[in-house]
Amino acid sequence: MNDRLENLAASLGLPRELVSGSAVLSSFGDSCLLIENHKGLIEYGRELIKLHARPCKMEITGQNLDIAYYTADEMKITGKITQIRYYR
Amino acid sequence: MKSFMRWCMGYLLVELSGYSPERLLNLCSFNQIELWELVNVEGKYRFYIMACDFKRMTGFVRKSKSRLVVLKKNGLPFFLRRHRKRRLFAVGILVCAFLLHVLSLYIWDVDFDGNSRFTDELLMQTLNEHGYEAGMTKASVVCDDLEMMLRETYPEITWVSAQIRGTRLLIQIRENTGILTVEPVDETPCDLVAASDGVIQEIVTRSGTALVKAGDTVTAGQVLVSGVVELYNDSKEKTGEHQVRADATILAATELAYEDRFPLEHTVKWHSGRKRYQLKIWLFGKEIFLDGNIRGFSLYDTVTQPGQMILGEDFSLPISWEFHELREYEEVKAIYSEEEARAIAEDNCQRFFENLIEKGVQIVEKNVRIDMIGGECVAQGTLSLIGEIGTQAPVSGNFEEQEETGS
Repeated sequence: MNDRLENLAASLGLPRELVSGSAVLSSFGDSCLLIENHKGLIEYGRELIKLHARPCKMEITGQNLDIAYYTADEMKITGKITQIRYYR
Repeated sequence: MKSFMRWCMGYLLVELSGYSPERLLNLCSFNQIELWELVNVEGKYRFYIMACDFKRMTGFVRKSKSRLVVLKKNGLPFFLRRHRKRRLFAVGILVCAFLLHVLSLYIWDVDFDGNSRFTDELLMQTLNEHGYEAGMTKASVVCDDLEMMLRETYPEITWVSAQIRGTRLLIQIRENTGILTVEPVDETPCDLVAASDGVIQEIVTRSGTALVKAGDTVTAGQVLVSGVVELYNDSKEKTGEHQVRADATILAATELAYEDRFPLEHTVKWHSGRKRYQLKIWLFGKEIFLDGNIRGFSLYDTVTQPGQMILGEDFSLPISWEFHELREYEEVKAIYSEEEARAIAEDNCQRFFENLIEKGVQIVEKNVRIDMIGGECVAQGTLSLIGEIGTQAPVSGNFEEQEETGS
């Protein structure tokens, strides 16, 4: 179903994340990560952050991780990011 | 801008701890409560939140079984609450704001830019004569009128732009470096006579009758080109003459005696190292002179450092000053050494040659000798030059204007 919607959005020239609600990640080097469309925080520590990010969960590991801001739509993580992992 | 808005509204630094702090954070984000600078400090979460959002969080705190502690209150509402008993301080701020507003209604500084021929002082004097001065209200300055006045007063100024920035009146000027003036043509008849003795090298006559040719030796005052032109008929008979303004290029080899002498003894300034200071302050255009003790100084140099109190870049305040440093000196007799005197004499000589070259004179030979004679440095010699020799003089000789008779 999701795939169909994504294909439809692509054929209409619309951003896919609008239809599927998937998380969008923008990274600035390894020191800053901007996550749009997240679905909430699961766990927050200086070396590990776990998030709900449709359609799965996400785990960000690194050192001195801070959350520069946290709103319903966006979250900005700063620090030394070493790994981004998706899991179910 | 965003941080300024947060400061105006007030914000808090809070510490979150308890069973499930992440749940509280999610509740906040889903209810459009913004958190920023979230940091995990020893298992507790610290973050900033707007003061108005904090009250909305209390229900969520209970629901998530967590504990929220306010660590610091920032922003204008908390500042005002902290200082609510300091009424005079608040009054002072209001008075200060009012004074700044009143001061901002006046011009306190006039700046000129782009002027080289006309000094700031001269332009300022002109402005004063026309009623423009520091201390006048901004509303009374009509920039267009001021620009027109300056252009009319000084025709050499081709472009003026006046603008008010803050409490400063900025006047930008462009001066015309070469004004084209049509000089009235003098049609009075005249001769060209030799300005000095010499040998004619070249002569090109445009009007008048040439009396000499290349190779002729002439003496000072001798007529080279006569302003009298004789008229002949077809039979080569003289029928009359008329006067014209003689015009010709006459180059001649001449000799010029050069002499420059100056005494070896001269006075120099010897600074004693003693200094005195004076301060002049202008407050609302009125001068207050704080005179330092300058008694005992008969001769002194003055070094002036002006200044003006300015807020930011363009908010000049009506307080300006001039700091004078008076450096005492004595006049001491000194004597140039031979090398120094020679260097000065050579320098003078060089400057004299450059002046001649600028006038279009060609220096063929120079023979100048520098000697020290009786306490004086004397540079003398002769220069062989090739240059314009003709100079205008009234028409000489008998002249009778006659009508040309036709044959």
